[in-house]
Amino acid sequence: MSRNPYVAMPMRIDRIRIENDAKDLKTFRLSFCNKSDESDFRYVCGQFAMLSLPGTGECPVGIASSPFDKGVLEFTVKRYASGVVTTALHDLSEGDGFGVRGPMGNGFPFQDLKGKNLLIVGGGFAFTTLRSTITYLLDPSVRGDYKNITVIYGARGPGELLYKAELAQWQQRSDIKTHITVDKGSEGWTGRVGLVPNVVKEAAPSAADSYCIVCGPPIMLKFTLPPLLDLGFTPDKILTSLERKMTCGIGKCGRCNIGKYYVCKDGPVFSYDKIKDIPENGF
Amino acid sequence: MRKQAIDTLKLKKLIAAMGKDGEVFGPVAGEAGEAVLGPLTDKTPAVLNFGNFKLPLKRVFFPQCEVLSTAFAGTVTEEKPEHKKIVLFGIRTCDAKAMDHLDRVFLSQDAIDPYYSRRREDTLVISMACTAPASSACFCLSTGAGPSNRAGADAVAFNLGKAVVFESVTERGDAFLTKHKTLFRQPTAAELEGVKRQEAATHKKLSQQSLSDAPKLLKKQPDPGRWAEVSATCLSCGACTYLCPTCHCFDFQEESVGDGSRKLRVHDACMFESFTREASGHNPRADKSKRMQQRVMHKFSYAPENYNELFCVGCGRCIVNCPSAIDIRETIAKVTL
Repeated sequence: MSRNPYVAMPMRIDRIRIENDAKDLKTFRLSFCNKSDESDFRYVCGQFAMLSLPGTGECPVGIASSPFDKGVLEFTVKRYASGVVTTALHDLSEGDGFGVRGPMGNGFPFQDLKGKNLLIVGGGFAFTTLRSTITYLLDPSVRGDYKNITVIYGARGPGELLYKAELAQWQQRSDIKTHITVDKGSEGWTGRVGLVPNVVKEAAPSAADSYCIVCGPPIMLKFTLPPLLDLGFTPDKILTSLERKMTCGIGKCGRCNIGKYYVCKDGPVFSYDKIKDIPENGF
Repeated sequence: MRKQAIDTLKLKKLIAAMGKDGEVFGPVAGEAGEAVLGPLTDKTPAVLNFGNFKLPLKRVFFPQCEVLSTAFAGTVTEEKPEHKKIVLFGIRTCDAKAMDHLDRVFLSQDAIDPYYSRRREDTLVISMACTAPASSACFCLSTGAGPSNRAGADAVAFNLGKAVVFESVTERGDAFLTKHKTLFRQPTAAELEGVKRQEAATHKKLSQQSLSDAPKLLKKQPDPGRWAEVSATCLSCGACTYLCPTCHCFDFQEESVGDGSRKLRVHDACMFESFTREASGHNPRADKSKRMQQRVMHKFSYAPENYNELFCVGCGRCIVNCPSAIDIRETIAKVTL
């Protein structure tokens, strides 16, 4: 009998890393308690899972690790003051466990992206599945399948940038062009200061034979989409990932319904042409 | 599709015979005289002439609250309800049609809901065609369902007074007719004619206004101001969704039990402010006009895009029970004017 989609598989926390100065973003590295779960959990970058704490509840979180990271899963969780589950997750320690239901959603369409230039634009906490994507794309076994990769990533301030060690590594590499920016600099920050939409305009990567993946808060998307369209990216070549409150994660509970789609099942990744006319798209 | 008849006086025997296969539920007289869904036995016969139940039948397969799993000392155990054979007899065709809609959601091949699926598999559905609208709010014909539609049922029955004619819809319905063949007889030509006459007569008693254009008109995205107008008196109480036979939104809740906990699935409603409120406080549908829009659009635009059918069977429960007397037919007419 197939797995009950409402029952989570148990996982153990191997490592917790605090990602930002505000200490409200933690990355959990998990390993599978049951070996069989590991082989069942096959995912594509851009997919998400429901993190499940018995007695507390569940919340949907994008997968931050790459499918090449064998035996582990990573999730970066933002704690919200009114978020019961995210707060409880942040209270956990290494060695503790929680449940994971998934993988869920469609993920990025890598078959379509093959042989193309890729522009990856991220803002704030939405960078998690993009980190998964970039890590995946830089793997020597697949890097050759894609042309130029350009990353533009912005955060409110230097202390809010995620995955700092990896950002530094990417900046050293010649097979990826990385533009890191912050809305507002601070003492010691020598990098770029400026909003993501402006950096997109300045960097002006070519839209020829390209796809753009853009993930960020609705306000960032609202102002980043026009310059992308100006650069010549057509709506079907702009991919984004939506977020909604979710319960089931498999298109039944109705919560993430937007137009004829369910974000959990038909998304979270949508090309802009599919959602631009839905009033509830948020941007 | 086969047709069999039974003299109404023998119906008790049929119900007793069905009872050997599982528990038989159908319309019985409730305390206040209204028909409610209850067990049918020799002593509690089915009420054949009734409007409709106040509550929809979705709770038979998708209860208002059910346990999905229990957790104790770090181990989660899946709740597996026992197989329990059930017969639903004499239920209204609109409610059977609603099950057909719910099947598309809960039994969709990409992710089958194990709890719904188990109960649905265990249930034989024998609906009974309407002979008169339950209230002026009935509009099944407008939604394409109709008083004698077959969808969702294994067999449909037609009450002709002295006899009841059964028509099988599914293989399971066929098997039901075969199994009890000693109680059935071939329907007479007059009885078959009577079924046709009854269907035609009931059709005439219902609103003929069609809602088949609604998806096309709603797709044009009515002005937000119109949604604000039609939802102005909405109390966001959720009565329409709880009583709707096709509404199926749900939530998970955690409950402490001793030193452990259990995960419950409970009905939820898109009419509630908390339905889409995220942990960050952001809420894409904070305004009740957006929630009204969502409910109407889901039934009359989004679901039809996915399933090619309106996700409303026209039972009229939302209209009859709305404390603000909001009529979904008028709502659609007003926003698409």
